[in-house]
Amino acid sequence: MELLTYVTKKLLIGIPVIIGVTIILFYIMYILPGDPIQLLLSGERVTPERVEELRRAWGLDQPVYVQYFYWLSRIIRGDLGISIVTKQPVSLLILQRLPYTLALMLTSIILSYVIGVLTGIITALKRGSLLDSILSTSSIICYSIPGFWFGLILMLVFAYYLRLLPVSGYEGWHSLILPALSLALPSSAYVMRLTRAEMVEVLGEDYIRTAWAKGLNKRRVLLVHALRNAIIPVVTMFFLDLPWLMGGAVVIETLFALPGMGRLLYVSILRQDYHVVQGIVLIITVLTVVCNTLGDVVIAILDPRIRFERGRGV
Amino acid sequence: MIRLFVEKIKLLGNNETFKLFLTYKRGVAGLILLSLIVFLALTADFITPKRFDEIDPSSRLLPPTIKYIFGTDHMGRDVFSRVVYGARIALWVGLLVVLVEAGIGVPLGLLGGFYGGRIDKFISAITDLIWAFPPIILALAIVTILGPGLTNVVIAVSVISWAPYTRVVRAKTLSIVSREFIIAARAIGESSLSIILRYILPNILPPIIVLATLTIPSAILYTTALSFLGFGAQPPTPDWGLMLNEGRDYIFMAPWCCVFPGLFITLTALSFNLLGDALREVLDPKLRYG
Repeated sequence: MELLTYVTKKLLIGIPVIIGVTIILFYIMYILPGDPIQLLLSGERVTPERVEELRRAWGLDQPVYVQYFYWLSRIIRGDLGISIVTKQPVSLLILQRLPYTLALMLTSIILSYVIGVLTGIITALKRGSLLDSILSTSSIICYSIPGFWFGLILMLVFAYYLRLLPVSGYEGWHSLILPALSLALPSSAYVMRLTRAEMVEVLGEDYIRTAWAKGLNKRRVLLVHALRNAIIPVVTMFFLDLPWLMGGAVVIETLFALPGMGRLLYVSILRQDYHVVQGIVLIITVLTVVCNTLGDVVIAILDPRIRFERGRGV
Repeated sequence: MIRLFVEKIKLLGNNETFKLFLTYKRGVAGLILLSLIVFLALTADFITPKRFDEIDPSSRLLPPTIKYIFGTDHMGRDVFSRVVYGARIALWVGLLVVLVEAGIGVPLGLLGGFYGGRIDKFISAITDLIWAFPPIILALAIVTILGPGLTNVVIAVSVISWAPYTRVVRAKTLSIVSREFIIAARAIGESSLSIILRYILPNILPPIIVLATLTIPSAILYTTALSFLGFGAQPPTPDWGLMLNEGRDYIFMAPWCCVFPGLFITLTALSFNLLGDALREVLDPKLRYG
């Protein structure tokens, strides 16, 4: 019951944020130079009366806030407008490209969390050893490397010199390996640092000493008692990471010419296809808010203390 | 007022703190690396064999030799000279972004933490809203409106990333506001502004310095990423991101055009990350950034 209240509260907090986001995005489009009707007609010659008629039909003669509600009601019905360049619905364009982006993000998330959590645990257990200092130093180096440069180097080595993988474009799942690696590198380094820090902290806690003292075997102490507590912040990070990866995907998809949503965003900005830009930014931002909320909820399930503390505080 | 800050900074730089810093080998390594990059940036006019925009059609895409130690690019420009001049841009951009971010984030955090109540709720709501946007995506949206260019990229990156400052400063202010010396200052009739500037701000300076050091690398990575996409610096600026954008078409023929600018982005970001980590340990051990 307490959990339910907490989750409901979190979900309710997400709603004003999403509304704020839509207002900002609508306003950005509103202040952009260019008359939407002229863009829609794209140079067609029509009478001023026809322009007036269109303006009324699209609700452009209404005050800004009325226009906002028109726009919002269309968005809620899944109508993101029409691409000025290709004349296709924006939602269709996005849906066509979404699978590639999801596949890329899923691959890189699995890669970064498997690598990050494992190396994090190892370095925490072997704290102060040579292995620890090598891995810890390389993690700082790894997140100082720009993903797009790492991608270029991977392309050069694996696609050009060794001819193992395709250079760019999408020719099947193996086209995702290099992009996913470039996206996962900095993120795995963060995951490792966080896992290590949390494990080190948890291993110093009293209850771990108690667990050792009770004579529990090593696996039980480390996996059940230590890891379960240390992993909580790592899970939060997982949800915060998703939108961040989306930003990285724009750069990486453009570099590897993958036909995903990120590349669509890049191309649309170049072509000044504003409706597509707005649609993609809107979807990603709403996803971000959803992810943040989900993160809070999952944490509350994993760690009852948080529910209690925050329930009292706020 | 300024004297107070100078004293506070002197206190940070006293022997004890510095000695403690010296025990962090990685931090010292970061400081040395950063000094080298700053040295390159400052002496660029003297140590580069050519100007960064000097075109030489007869020596296009030459591999690294003694004459051109980093090779030449597709226009016959010396990559070494461009990379060295690029250090100036990267350091400037990093510094500017951090100044703008702190300029927005610190006052908001101070106000929220000091006054609490409605002001705090309002500021927290705005911070949450900005936090909700994924960084590169929002920067791209802003650059779409403002148009391409290095200045616009600096604005875009600053606007998307001031929220951590507000959060850290607010939390630190909250933890100080109820301490005795603040209550005493109020009791003797100091104005709110004077309390914020003379008593709170100097005391929360260490976490701000640490945060600034740690946000410079991400500022550099974001701006070079945007320049790499072609939305940032415009030719012939020797911006590292733009050099990668231009060199990308010749990556298989002339990998050196891409290898060296990227290497320097990495080294610069690395130097700040190493330094920032050590500074955090020394100045503010308990601090955590979300």
